Amino acid sequence: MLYSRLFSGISFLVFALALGATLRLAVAERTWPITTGNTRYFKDLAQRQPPLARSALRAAVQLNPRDSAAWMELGLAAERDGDKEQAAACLLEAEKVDRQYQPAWTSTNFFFRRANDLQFWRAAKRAAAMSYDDPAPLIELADHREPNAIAALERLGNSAHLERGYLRYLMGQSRWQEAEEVAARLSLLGDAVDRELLLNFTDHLIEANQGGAALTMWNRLQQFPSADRATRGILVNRNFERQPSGHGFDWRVTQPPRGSVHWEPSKLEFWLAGSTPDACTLLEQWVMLDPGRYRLRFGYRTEGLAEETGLRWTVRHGGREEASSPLLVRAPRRVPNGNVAEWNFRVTKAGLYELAWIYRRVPGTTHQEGHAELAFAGLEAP
Amino acid sequence: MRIDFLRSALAAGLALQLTASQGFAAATVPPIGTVVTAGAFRLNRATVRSNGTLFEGAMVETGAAPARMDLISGARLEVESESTVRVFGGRLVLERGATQLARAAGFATGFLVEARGLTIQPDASAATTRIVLIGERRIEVSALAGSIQVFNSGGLLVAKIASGKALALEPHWMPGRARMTGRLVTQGSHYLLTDETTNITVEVSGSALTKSDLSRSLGQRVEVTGSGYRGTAVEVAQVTPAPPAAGTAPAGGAPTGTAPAGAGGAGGAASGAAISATMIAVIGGVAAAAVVGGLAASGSLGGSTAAPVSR
Repeated sequence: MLYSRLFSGISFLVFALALGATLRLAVAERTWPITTGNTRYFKDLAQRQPPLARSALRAAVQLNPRDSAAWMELGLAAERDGDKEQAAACLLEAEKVDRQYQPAWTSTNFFFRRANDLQFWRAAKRAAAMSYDDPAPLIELADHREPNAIAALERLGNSAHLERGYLRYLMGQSRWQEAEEVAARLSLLGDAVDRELLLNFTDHLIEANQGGAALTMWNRLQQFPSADRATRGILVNRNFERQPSGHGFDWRVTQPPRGSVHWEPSKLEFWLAGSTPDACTLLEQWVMLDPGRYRLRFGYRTEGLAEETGLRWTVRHGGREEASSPLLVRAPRRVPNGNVAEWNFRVTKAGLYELAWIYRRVPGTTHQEGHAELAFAGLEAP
Repeated sequence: MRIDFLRSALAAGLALQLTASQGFAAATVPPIGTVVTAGAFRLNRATVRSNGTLFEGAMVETGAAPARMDLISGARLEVESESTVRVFGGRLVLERGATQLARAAGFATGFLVEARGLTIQPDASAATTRIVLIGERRIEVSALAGSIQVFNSGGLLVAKIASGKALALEPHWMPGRARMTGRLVTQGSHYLLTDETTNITVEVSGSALTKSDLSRSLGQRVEVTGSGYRGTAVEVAQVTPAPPAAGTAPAGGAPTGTAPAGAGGAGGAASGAAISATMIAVIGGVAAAAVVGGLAASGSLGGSTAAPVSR
């Protein structure tokens, strides 16, 4: 009986407390729009009624002087109305009460538009230090004020995040020389997360026919695993000991249409299907060459292909075929170590060349499906 | 409270000094305006929150929140949510979604909006225009305040939209063909027709027509089909009596004989309680239909099941 009464009493007390809390919340909700600290009403009003924006936002910042969003909106509204001094004061106040990214970013933009260098770089440096998103918009502003990327980076305060952003930005603008400088700084950090970006940059340099810069960049990647040093006139990963990366000066492997390709250490094997097109590229590598004669030595085997396999090597420069090897003859797989062959060619200009192993059906022959295997390919100057 | 006041006064003083300082260097590329939104948006494919600075050719993609752009030229643009625009100092290219253009009174006219090959130009400096891309081909243009002119990709005027009216337009609609509906009037020795949908007045002529053909239709509400619109005249192949517009007197019931060019037009058509399905005008390779309640008056405008231009 006693327990029952005690239980009822506790239940009643809990119910009363819950009711009280609910009532307090309800009262608070009703009075919320006019209580100190709630600026949402005025900010909403400013958005809905642009002519009233400034007075509404003034009321908002009076209610809550620590509301940085209201200060920023008031600053931008003042700027729209041509009141630059008021705008600057509000944005500086926003920065003072909120030391996060957004107020600094807003000030950066405002002082950029006002062409106030001193304040622009102060705010931009602050924003850069707190930037966690894509820094491209900040970099674009900085680049308009300081077109020298390295100088701009110094002013913004060096950081790997900014350097990555700058590298992407400069690549997008094809500003290779500055991009090289930024990439060099980034590569010194040796951070594995930068590997893909730097490989991508090397590919862009090659596409832009910046062979020398690409070679330098490629060799800066040595600190990352799986990148062999490249030099002029030498092929990288000549024994296929590592899986071709498809980047920079490493092999780029293309699966033949409707066929397949398989890599294992020291062997690259292609399967050409019966429906493989009459011509396709199987393997390519960029190489820097000086004018002169070169000898390509390679080991290969075939199975199922015709006597005239359709396989050959080509050297391309500037999108044009400069030299083409004779057709490779059939080299049965049962022959130990395959067939070691050589091909001599000459180039007349220094630059970036693309060595490719291609398949091209010989006119007058029928296409036969089969395997083609490459064990090594090395270049030397005789 | 006093500390707050002092702090504000200090900030204002500092700001005044900063904005008045002489250490400015001219920006290499001048900005063309600002963009502000309540959420995040994409500026030149990079995510930005709250606000940003616009340069010539900037691409702005809004997300869930609309964005407001204030340009130095005086143009003010509301880019609606889930829209993509490319903005220049004197024009905006709408690539996706919808936008609303307003201009601060007193600024010179001349700001253009381009969408799907059409150029939309408000007439007055304080005009407000809303442009919405619908589906793959349609553009809906509303003159919320002030009137609008619409030009095709060749620069020919294809529609004049009066204040408070809207048109649904589809460019690349059987280029070279024309179809217009309105009252045939004379001005001197010329036969003129003001299309009720587009409000465009053209001279009607055609080697296949005799003077008596045209005289018979004078003052009547007719539909003309033909070709060769070059901004002033249409080479008409056929003139047929048009069915009476709903809510108006039947054609021929009260011929007016003459009417001032540009009068009536889209306003009269759009103000009807309903608009007949034949009220699709085709002019300068652009099909146009009046919009009522946000929908094209004729359901046949758009898609591949469009009504034939000529019969």
